[in-house]
Amino acid sequence: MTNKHNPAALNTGRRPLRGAGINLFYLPAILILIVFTVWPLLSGIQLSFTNWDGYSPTKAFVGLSNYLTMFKDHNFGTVLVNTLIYGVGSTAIQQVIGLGLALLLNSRIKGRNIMRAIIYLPALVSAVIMGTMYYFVFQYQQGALNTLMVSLGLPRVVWFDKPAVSVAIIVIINSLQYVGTSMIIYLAGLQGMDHSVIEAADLDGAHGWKKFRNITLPLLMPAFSTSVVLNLIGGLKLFDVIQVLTGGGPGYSTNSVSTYIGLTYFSNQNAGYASAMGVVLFVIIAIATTLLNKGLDRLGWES
Amino acid sequence: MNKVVKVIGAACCASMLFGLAACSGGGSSAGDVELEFMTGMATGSTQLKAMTKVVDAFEKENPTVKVTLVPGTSSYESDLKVRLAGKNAPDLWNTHGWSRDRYADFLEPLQNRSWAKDMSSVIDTAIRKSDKSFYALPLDVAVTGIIYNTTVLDKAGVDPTAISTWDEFDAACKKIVATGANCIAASGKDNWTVGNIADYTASGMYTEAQLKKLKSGSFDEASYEKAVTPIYQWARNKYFNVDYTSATADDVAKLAATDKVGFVIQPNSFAQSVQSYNADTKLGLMPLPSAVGDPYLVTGEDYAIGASKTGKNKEIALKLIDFMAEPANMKGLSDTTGNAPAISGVEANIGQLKDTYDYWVDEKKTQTYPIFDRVYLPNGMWNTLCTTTDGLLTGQSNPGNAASQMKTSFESLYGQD
Repeated sequence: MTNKHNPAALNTGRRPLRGAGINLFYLPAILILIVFTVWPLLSGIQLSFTNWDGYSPTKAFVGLSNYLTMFKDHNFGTVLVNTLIYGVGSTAIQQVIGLGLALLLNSRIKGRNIMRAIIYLPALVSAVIMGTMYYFVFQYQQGALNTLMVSLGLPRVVWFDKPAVSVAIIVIINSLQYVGTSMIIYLAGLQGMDHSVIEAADLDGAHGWKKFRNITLPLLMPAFSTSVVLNLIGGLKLFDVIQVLTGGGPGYSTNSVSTYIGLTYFSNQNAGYASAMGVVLFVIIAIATTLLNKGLDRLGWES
Repeated sequence: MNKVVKVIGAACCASMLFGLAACSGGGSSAGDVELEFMTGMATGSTQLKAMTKVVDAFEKENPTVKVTLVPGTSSYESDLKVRLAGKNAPDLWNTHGWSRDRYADFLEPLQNRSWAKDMSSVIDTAIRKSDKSFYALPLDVAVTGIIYNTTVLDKAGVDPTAISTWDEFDAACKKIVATGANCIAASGKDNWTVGNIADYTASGMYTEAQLKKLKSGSFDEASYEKAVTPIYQWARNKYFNVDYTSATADDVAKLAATDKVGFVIQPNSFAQSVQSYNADTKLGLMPLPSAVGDPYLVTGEDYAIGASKTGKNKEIALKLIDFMAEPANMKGLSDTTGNAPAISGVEANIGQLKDTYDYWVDEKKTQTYPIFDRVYLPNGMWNTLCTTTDGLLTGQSNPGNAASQMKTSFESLYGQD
């Protein structure tokens, strides 16, 4: 193909420098992206092939050794499963509650603006503070929950004794913190809907569940995609709440890949292996979001 | 229009570059010297207050010097490693037990300082290299064992001086638990407290030959499994505090302050924490039983200050270390640690533990072992030690699994030093 068949290319060719100054606007963003995202990613990949301890001036190339260690490390299997539970579990809970709240607060109920603000408020709080607050709820001696149980004549419970219970508590806390974000996304979706379609459905006699299933839900697909992808990425990268609430314990049982990377990098002085796990987590998140996006896109088109 | 766009764009870039440049920090006024000192001491702690007093006096004597004391946080060790990795070491830092094995390559050797000849030899095995060089001024010499609550032991009819084997310790635990108190307390939230239990008890679980083998790089899983089995059993026998998983280190101190726990295996500074909650609590110190010999106490460096060998103001930093080593200053600093001073001629203030400390250290001349991980495990294993022991207490792991994880970590870290 030559330029004479492409008007856009011809136009660019005639005045190549026109409007070039506008490029300066995105230069800072690109620089920030390179310095804080691209360069650390490339450094991480490079480190994953070394035996660096995280602070010494020297390091040696060890090939794929760090990647092979993952297969022998029983803890990595545990933390990988935990990470998937944190990601998928939080995403599922947030979609169900977030959508329910959005539908409720999209109706004309009294005080809906205040309720929206209250539900969204935890998303503005630091996850460390959120984790600390819930630590005081689930603490054994002076914890709010145990105090309540004692006042009801029930025995105190050691909430963080069992890994499964601890993981479930972490999923619930993370979901409750960010359920407001899902609600806002769904509210935006509901309010951005084409009202003529809704009205047409009303005229055709669609009501209740039938209307929600066949009209509202398909129109919410773009909001659903955004919410699911954002929540899944957040859940798979979960760090702060775990660190504050359980510190990854008992033993290694509630660690996510992110907290285990921190532990391996700094405390166990194995920056090379930690970097290899970081690369694997990056690949998992990239594959999961790509597949999810494609799946949701297809679902959206079909709808 | 195009010109306006270019000017605004250039301004955006310039402001960002200025912003990045600002990250490199501010400078000092001409002629002044600034020292950055990462203390590793918590904000508001008695240790930081004592250090501030010494530094203030140093600044008064040296008006052109300004020392910035950086308090320690829960990520102190990580912060320090990031600074070292970035070739941006502070002028001085607290080496928290690792002046030789972790930080020696970054620190100025101190064996030729004037005060070096007066330094206690008790911690030589932990801080000196084979050529006798060392890299930090220890503010104290930790000589410790098991801290007990006299009131709890009296109530249970337990005589701490009669405990010389782990079987006797086990019998004492049964009596204490029968009174409704906890035998031992630790914190799963601050799992260094449980790491201390394994760290202090391990030396007495190995024979000299086994310790020698360990030091030469051979980790025997069966020996370690045997060493931590008592801890696993204590947990199964419910000797530990029931709130272990959610308890903090402060909660453990509160348990001791309210006479709800018999024994705690932590540094001597634990006594000060307890007394901050209840000054009338009666505490004592006893040696650790040994599975292979006589009871023993453990020794090691606790707070120790080193100067960066690449520091721009290294000589001034060394001058500050010399100032800390002066007897009056050393006394002020070591008094806050609950341990004896590291410099001879400085009067010790062990506080509440003094009588029992004097009994076991001076009168009975109890044998001492260096703290296990500092000498027999490679640098970087502390966290694995804490986490695997935490797993033993909570039942997430068993002694065999803990030994297997320790072996993996040992083999990956040995030789890195």
